[in-house]
Amino acid sequence: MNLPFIHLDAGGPVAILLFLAVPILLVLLVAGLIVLTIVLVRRANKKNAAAQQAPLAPSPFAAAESPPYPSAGAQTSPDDARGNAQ
Amino acid sequence: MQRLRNNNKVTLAVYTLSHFIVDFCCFCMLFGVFLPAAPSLLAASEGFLLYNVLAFGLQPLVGSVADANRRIPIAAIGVSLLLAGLLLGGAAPYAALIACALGNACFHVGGGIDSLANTNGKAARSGVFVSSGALGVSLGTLFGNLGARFSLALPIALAATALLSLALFVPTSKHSEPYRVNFDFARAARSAGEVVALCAVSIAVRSFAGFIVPMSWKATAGLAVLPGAASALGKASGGVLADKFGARRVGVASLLLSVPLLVFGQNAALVSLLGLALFNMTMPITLCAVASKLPRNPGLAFGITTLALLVGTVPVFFVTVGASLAKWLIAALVALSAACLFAATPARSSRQLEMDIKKEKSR
Repeated sequence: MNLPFIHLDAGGPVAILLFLAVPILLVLLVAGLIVLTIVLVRRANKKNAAAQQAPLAPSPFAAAESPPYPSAGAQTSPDDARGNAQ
Repeated sequence: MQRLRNNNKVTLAVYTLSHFIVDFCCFCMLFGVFLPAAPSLLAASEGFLLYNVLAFGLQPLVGSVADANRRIPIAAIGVSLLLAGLLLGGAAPYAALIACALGNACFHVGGGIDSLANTNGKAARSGVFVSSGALGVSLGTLFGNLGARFSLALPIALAATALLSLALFVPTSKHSEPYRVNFDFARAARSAGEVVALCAVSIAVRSFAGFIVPMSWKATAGLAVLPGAASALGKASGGVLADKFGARRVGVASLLLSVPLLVFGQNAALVSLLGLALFNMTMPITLCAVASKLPRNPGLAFGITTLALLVGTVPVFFVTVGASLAKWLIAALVALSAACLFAATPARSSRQLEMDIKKEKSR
């Protein structure tokens, strides 16, 4: 459904402005929504980037879990180590 | 009942059916209640524009809020608002229009999030979800234009059914951590801003082109429903085909193939309908491409696509394009839309490459 501008009677610039007031406001509202969306996308993008770069949070049980055995590498048997070297 | 609530296919069926109902009810209200009550043609046109701005333009904002608060049952809130608008009906046409538009925005975000978040990186689910809306719009317009025989009883009953179905079969999220959708429909080398902008231009341009397609064959009310059915078929099949053959291949090929059919199908219903189906296949592809770059914000991703649709719709309220110019304009705009899609989507997604490698290995 088109706005019936074609039937506009000559009523001077003020009449035309009043006639166009609501459509202009709605178009401005759309422009505002576009700007708002750009801001939301930039913010979401920043959060995404931060989430991807953030190191994994240390486990609260890390201290309890760490020793008694030194490390995974140290548990490798001599045979495995030889195999890896080959 | 508990098993049904946790079934992904049941949830999709409920959202898809509710999408049809929501769009059907909104257009029943617009054509059956608001249009007859409008004091002038200008007021009616402005009301329709206001509806579009609220229903489509607010979705990025609503989507962003819904992304941050997963526990909000946004779709059910939307249908409740819609029901309130329908109950207001002719007593307060503007309030009814605003309530229905806000309800529409909320429901679409809820359904959109479900279609993006509850699928394993596939576009088929979002294609199926968006497809039913086109049919709802066509049938709602037809029903709303019944004149003296029009009654709000059917839309109210349908909206109540949709609300009940959502309450019964769609579980409210118990999670509060951010979403993490897993799509691979956007070119990895492009930044999120580039993909969002390219897809938004592709959608907006396509949206405007869709409104100026000449369809002289659509003379009777019965035939007027067929474009909606063809669009629904195109949207649903577009997602399935994109999963199988790749987003860029399906999106660009379907858009370019649709041009001659839309341009030369002015007097041939079947040719025109085939063109419309092809023309609408890109809808789930652009949606999933945007969602690929905003993995934690499926609501915002869905809202961006509807805002782009609105941007393409607004000029239709101000400009009338003649049939001869329309043909050239459609060809140029669809080509531009295809070029944007080409630039935004990958030739072959990494998931498809993985599948190909697995197939090669199994041989």
